[in-house]
Amino acid sequence: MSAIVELLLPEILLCVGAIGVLFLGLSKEFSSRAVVWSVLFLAGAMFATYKLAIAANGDEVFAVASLHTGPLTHYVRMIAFAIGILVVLACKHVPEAEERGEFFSLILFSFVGLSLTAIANDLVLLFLALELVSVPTYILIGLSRRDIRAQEAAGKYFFLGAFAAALTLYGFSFIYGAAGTMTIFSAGTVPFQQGAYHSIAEWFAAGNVYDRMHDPLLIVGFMLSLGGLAFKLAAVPLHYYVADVYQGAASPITGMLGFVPKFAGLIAIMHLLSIVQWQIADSSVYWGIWIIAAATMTIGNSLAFMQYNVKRMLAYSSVAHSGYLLMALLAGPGASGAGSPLRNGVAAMLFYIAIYGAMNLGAFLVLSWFRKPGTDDSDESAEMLEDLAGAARRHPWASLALAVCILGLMGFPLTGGFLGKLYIFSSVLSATADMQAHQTSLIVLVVIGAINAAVGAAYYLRIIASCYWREPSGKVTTSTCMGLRVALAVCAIVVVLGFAWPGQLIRHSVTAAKEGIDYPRVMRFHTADSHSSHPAESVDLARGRR
Amino acid sequence: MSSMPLLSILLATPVFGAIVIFATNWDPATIRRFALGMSVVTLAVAVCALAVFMQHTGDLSSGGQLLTESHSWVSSDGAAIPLRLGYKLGLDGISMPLMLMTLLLTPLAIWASFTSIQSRHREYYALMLLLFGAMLGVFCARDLLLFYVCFEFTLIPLYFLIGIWGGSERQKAANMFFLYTLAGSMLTFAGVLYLGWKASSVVHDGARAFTFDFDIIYMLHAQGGLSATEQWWLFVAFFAGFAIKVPLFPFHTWLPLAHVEAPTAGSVILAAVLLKLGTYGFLRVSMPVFPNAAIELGPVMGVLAVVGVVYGALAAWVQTDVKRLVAYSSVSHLGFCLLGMFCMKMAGLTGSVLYMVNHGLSTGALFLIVGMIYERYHTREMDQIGGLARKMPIMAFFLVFFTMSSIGLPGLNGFVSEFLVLIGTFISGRTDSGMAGPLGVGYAIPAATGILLGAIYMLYMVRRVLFGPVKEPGHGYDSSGGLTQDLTRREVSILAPIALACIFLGVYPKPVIDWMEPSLSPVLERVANVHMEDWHRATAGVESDDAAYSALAVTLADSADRSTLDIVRRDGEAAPLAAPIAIHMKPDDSEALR
Amino acid sequence: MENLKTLAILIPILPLLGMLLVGAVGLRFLKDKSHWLVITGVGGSLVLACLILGDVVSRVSRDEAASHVANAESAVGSAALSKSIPIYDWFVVEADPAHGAMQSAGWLQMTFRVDQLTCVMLMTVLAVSFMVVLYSKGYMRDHHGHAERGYERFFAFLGLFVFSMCMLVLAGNFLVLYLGWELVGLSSYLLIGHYYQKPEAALAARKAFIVNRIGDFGFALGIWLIYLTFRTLDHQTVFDLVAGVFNYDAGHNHQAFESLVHTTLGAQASVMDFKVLVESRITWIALLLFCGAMGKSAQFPLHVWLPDAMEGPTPVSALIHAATMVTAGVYLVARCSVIFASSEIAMWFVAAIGAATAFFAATIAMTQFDMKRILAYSTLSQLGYMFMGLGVGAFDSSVFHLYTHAFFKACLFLGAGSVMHAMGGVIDIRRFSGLRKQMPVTHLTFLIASLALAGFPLLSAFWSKDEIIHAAFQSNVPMFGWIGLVTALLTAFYTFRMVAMAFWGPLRLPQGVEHAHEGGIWMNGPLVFLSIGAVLAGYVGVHFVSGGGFLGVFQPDGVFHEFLAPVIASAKGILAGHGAEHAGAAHAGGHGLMYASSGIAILGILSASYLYLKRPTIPWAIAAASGSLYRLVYNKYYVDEIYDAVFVQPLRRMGRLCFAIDRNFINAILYVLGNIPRAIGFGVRSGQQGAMQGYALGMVIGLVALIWIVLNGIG
Repeated sequence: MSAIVELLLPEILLCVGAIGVLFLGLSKEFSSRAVVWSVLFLAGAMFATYKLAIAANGDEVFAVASLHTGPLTHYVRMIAFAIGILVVLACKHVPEAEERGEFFSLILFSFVGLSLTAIANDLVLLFLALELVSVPTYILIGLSRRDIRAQEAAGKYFFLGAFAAALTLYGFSFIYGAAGTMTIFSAGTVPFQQGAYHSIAEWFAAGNVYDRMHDPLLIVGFMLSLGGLAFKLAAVPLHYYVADVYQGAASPITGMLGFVPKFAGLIAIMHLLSIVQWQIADSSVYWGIWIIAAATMTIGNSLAFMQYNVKRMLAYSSVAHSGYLLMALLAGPGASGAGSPLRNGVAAMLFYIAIYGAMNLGAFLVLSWFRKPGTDDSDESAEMLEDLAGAARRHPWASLALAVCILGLMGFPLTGGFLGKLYIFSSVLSATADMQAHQTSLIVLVVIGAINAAVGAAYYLRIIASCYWREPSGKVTTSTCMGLRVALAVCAIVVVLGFAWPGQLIRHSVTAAKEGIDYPRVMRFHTADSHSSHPAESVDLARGRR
Repeated sequence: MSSMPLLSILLATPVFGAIVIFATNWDPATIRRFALGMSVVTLAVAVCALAVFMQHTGDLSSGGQLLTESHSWVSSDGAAIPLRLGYKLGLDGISMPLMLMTLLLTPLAIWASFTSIQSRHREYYALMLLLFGAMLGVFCARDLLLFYVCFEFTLIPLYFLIGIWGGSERQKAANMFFLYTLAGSMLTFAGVLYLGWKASSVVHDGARAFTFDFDIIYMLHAQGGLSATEQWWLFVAFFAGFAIKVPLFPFHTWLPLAHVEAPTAGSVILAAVLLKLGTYGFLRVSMPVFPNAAIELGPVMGVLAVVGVVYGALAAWVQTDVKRLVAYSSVSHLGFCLLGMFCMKMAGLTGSVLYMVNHGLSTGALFLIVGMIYERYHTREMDQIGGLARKMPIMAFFLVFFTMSSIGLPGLNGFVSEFLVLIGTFISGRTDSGMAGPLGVGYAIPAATGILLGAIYMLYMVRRVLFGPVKEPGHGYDSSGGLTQDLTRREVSILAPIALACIFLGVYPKPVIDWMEPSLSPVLERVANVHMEDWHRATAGVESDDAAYSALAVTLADSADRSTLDIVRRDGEAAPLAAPIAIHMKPDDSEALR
Repeated sequence: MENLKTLAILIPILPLLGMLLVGAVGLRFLKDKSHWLVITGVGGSLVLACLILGDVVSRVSRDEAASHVANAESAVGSAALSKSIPIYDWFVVEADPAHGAMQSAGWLQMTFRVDQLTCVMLMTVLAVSFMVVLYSKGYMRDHHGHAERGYERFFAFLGLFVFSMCMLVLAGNFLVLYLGWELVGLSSYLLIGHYYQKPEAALAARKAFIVNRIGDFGFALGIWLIYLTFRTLDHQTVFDLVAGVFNYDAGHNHQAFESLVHTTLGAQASVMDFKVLVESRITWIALLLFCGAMGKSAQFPLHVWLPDAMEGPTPVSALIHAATMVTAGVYLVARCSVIFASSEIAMWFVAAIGAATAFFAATIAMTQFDMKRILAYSTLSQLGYMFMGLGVGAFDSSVFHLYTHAFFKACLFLGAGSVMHAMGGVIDIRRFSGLRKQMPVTHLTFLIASLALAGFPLLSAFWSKDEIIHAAFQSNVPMFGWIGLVTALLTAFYTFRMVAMAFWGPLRLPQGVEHAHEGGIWMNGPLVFLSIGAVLAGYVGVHFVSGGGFLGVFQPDGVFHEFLAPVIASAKGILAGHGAEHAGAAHAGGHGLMYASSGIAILGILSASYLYLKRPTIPWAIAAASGSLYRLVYNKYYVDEIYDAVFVQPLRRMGRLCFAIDRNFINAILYVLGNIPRAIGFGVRSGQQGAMQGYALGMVIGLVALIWIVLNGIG
């Protein structure tokens, strides 16, 4: 039992923190400290994660009951909590004074959900974790603004989210139907018995890959759950809500919406794909993901292209980014296994989502920083392109931060976004070696991605142009919130560092990617005694502890 | 070699200057002086680098580089195929002249901005210095990814320079410039990545790595890493980025717009340096890495280049806006530049590199002069100004001088490169000086009309601007910026160094050519190897082909129909577009054309 | 050799230095005394040219002496003359990548060449230049002696011109020749445009440059073709190779030729293949080179720029557009005599163009009233003579005519300038007359030069022109000789039409001019010198014999021809090989022709004087009677208009079309491409209506479609 507590220490810490902050909100006196405490708890969770990672002695993966932790978990936690701190700082002035307690505790809960998504070793737990990500956000949207549009957005998000959750759950049930178990990976020590599988991965490994991948139950389950998860990612065809919801929420919350559910959805898809050992090349699942990725990029960018409302534009751009990220997952880890992100789509995805979190949040934070021009007491953040007009004249640093984040989203050199795109595209190109049959379609996907990047540049430029070129249409006022300023600066710096000094992040993303890849391999190692490209490294990977 | 990381200092100086300018809150005069100072410091660093470079030019032979620096940027060892992204710098005989041209022109462009830029000084000079650094980076880079990063990054400063300080249609121009070139280079990006992935198959020092190092990528062809089909597609991918940047006909339409709208310094740098990034890219990447494709698509490139030469010249002739006229002249000139490159002869390649430098000098100077006129009269329309030689004799001198340089007057720089390019194109099809290239007389003669058309449109411009009765808009010139009627001492000091460089390169280009040759010959060797292979493939099993050939040559040469210039045995006519390589020449250069 | 090299380098450098100094200090400090810099430079060059001439003459005479004693070792003097003098490496053309290093052979060098032809040209050019520079000092000022606007600039450009012309003449290979060729074009452009504020001057300058460029386009192609064929641009090597090829069948000295082929083209080169190649191309080479000559020497149909070039200051017309630059084409053909002699077609073409131009320009000159234009057409006509001479193989005679022409034509132009100066810029001979009394020096010198031009016996042009006509009669196409004679009549006529209208008859001055006066010593000095030249210059080309010659003493073919003989010897040899009977036969005989042409000249002079002095109505009546023919000639056969309609306007239209394609077609395509995302956006935005139910429906439909696709597979 203590093992579980130890493994879940960061999440437990955060849950305690969330409940504590909720209680703080009850008191008028202390509610103003909600931000401080939230940050402290997030930092504590980060520290705990750090300790766990050190103690875990490198690449070891532990599976206990329906949990498993390893480098991937640590990576997700670290990134999530770091972004969490930035979100909390940026939200300092968002909620009404009397709602601070629940507001920040909901944020913390959402991040707990995100890290649990990575930990879940059970479809049920995975589903619960995903819901824990989403449910707080439904409320957060509503709380974030007094505007009626926020309520409408919250409503839409809730109902459509529920629909998607149902789809996911339905899909999971199909998978259960195929495998007869809910556990994703089994703890390696338990002997394998004929007829009953301890885990879905075991079930998959026990059979012929081709048969398994053509099992209609599995395929339907896969596609349904993928569909449901597409909602989290805001991927086509479940992208409809994005603009309305993002527009309705307060900007910092929008920044969070662009990152947390997306990350969670990607981790979940990654789990699903690692169950089938990334062997999607022969299956129609490949085409499913291919179509989703291509359509998501193209439709997202096209819709953003039409926009003059920055928030809606960035919302659709986040759709497009889901396309890029799915591309990376389509490429998969590559035959060489734990290669660099250039050959490993999973690592590329992990790297990109971290940078994306920073630049996406940064862009929304700048919107939040600039007040809508007009009446001085307007507390609305900038939203339309005109609202940003001429901002660079008066606020060079904030505009610079905006430019950096936007250029990052564009994938322009000297930003981490460039490296992210580099990794994703080149991992897809490298995948041509593993998926001989799909060589052409993969290259076509990269070309579609490249063209989309150019299309993306067209509308991103409008933001920069408005900021730098146009004459101020009214008085540009700014928020006075210090937390927002710090968060914004950090985001911009991270985006630049992501290019200049990406070494650590890459190393961790590579290690983290290994978990999602090697874990099922090890299962196979135990069951069918199959080959592994890195036997020495992976021998004790699946060892249960204590 | 020097222990100092001179090139890194060179790159860092302007970037440092940009950061300082952006971060401080100085008054415009200080900013201007500081920006100029930083660019001059950069130039000084470059002079040190040049000194080191000149001492070791012997090491350039067979593709060597000087002043190399190599640092790991991103690396992951331990994996089966480790990742090695590098920060690798170096200079060779191709990049050095271009680099010096950049180093000469950018400080002058900054200096020229002193009076023409009247607002937002801080951002302007910071962006200029940033652009300076990025351009130097392109020429220094010895790593494809670093090259691409700098190549791409140059867009941003220029986007702002045009968009903020440009003319009335600046926003449209900046957007078109940015998006068009970006769209092209995104495809190039895909190509870069594919190349990097392919390079991970290269065994170097007994190991493989995922890297973009030029040295490794250059090995791809030798190790058979790229099939002909792959080369073809990669060539097209790189073409997308480079051809738009050059700009090659018919991808040139952004250029006149961008030039007309850009501020003077922006135009200068755009014409002088940024267009060269495209041609430099062709020379640095497309030709040596995809030699098969370069030969196969050589005729296509040749046709586009020749069409560009004539088309640009004709379009220039009917312009009334001086700046647009000069912009179209760039389209024409860069056609020459590519023609020289794809003739795949040493003469052509040398000429092509020289052409890049020379076009930078003369067109850069022309844009400076146009800017100086514009500052005084606030118009560039030839309908509104005329006879300025009377009012501005010194300007007139420089305008005529650079016109002459631009139209290839012997004794000035333009002539040397034009002559070399054309002679390279003429001898391209011949086998008696190395391998036959894909072009020939059929390309050279129409291209040579460019020297005629060039004179026509440039002198047309000179006549309308300088000669005839004085015509000034409104109340004469605008003296508000402290400008005198004729050029000020500052403006003369800006133009004079360029003029001296033009004379030097026209009269005694030997030192520069001496650098280029050892760096260009590896490029040619790769092409030559392709020819050998194809030749053997084509002639396998054909006995006594040589004899048959000689007979054919004699027949051709002696043919009764002397109405055509039967200069090469191989038909000098333009080969059909995109036809497979028509290799009919002998691989052995000893078997000269008899 | 060293001596020659130093001198050869210094000769162009001195005027260049003069020009640079004018630019550096003249404009600011010396101002209207800047002429001293250029006068010194050109004068210095003239002195050096004399030294070079002395050097060359002494070499030749030493060799002759040596050959008498059969001492081969000392006979190196004149052999060195046919070698290029390398100055420095200019740029590199080819390198063999297989060897990884530049071959020194690949370098195109800056080379000079000093031989007999160079000396003749240098002396002519520099002597006339010096006179013109002196004259300009007086001319480029108003009546009070104040310098005109742009005075310093004028002298600087004169310096530039002399430099360029020296480079052209001294060139040791085709590339340096091309350099000088283009530089004189530039100087000409700048000097024609001296009065740039006059739109006509500006247009004329541009026209001159561009028409020259058209010729140069052919010239450049010719140079490239030479390079493609011979792999070298060195004059002497090319000439030797050509001579070798065309003397091959005659069978002398195969070994030397073959070794030359091998050193130039590589050891494996096949001599026979090379021979075939050269034979097939030589006509093209010659014709393309001739294109350049046609442009620079204003031969039909590229003559249109020269009359317009008279918009430049008169000294410029005298120097550049009469005496020196326009003769560069003649120099080129003479220099490349071997190449031309090797191609019968080219020779015929040169002669035909020359003859046509000579006649046709003379007819135009008959109808013009602008003194300078008359002289310009006369120059065209005389250049036509020279080309005709070249075309029939009388290279030395043509150069001789070039040399004599320089003196009298410069004198005529300067005289016209003197008149113009006195008439306050008026040059139309209908607006003044009878200047004889008021401008005696100008009148006298002008008269002498006119007599020379008209071919009056014993004056310089008489000898040279007669040689050409004689050679033309000797050629395969005697028609050329007849054309020459008719043109001689026309020449005498239009020259004295001009003299009679301007200087003779009653005194008449244009409005606003009180009194015509001479230009002072600076202007008269050169006039006198040049008129003396016009009388005496011809005698270097004449032998004095006792009995048998013209008037019993004069025999064509003098020192001048002997001096030039080595330069054109191999061309003559080839012509002889062709079986052209006229070639070797020098100019012996033909005294009958001399008498005939004397008669024709005198007839022309007398008839013009009679018609325009005594019966001025008759010419008008003739003009009126010939109607449209007269208008055709008066309007210069409408060549300019034809060019405009056939070339200029269509090209402009092409240019407009290109620009329109850019804006309306290419940009339209880009616009369409750029809006594809917008189109897709419009398509998919229809789903974004804001209603949640719609969203849910869209999601379901999308998912069902997706699953359907996945389950049914793709394709």
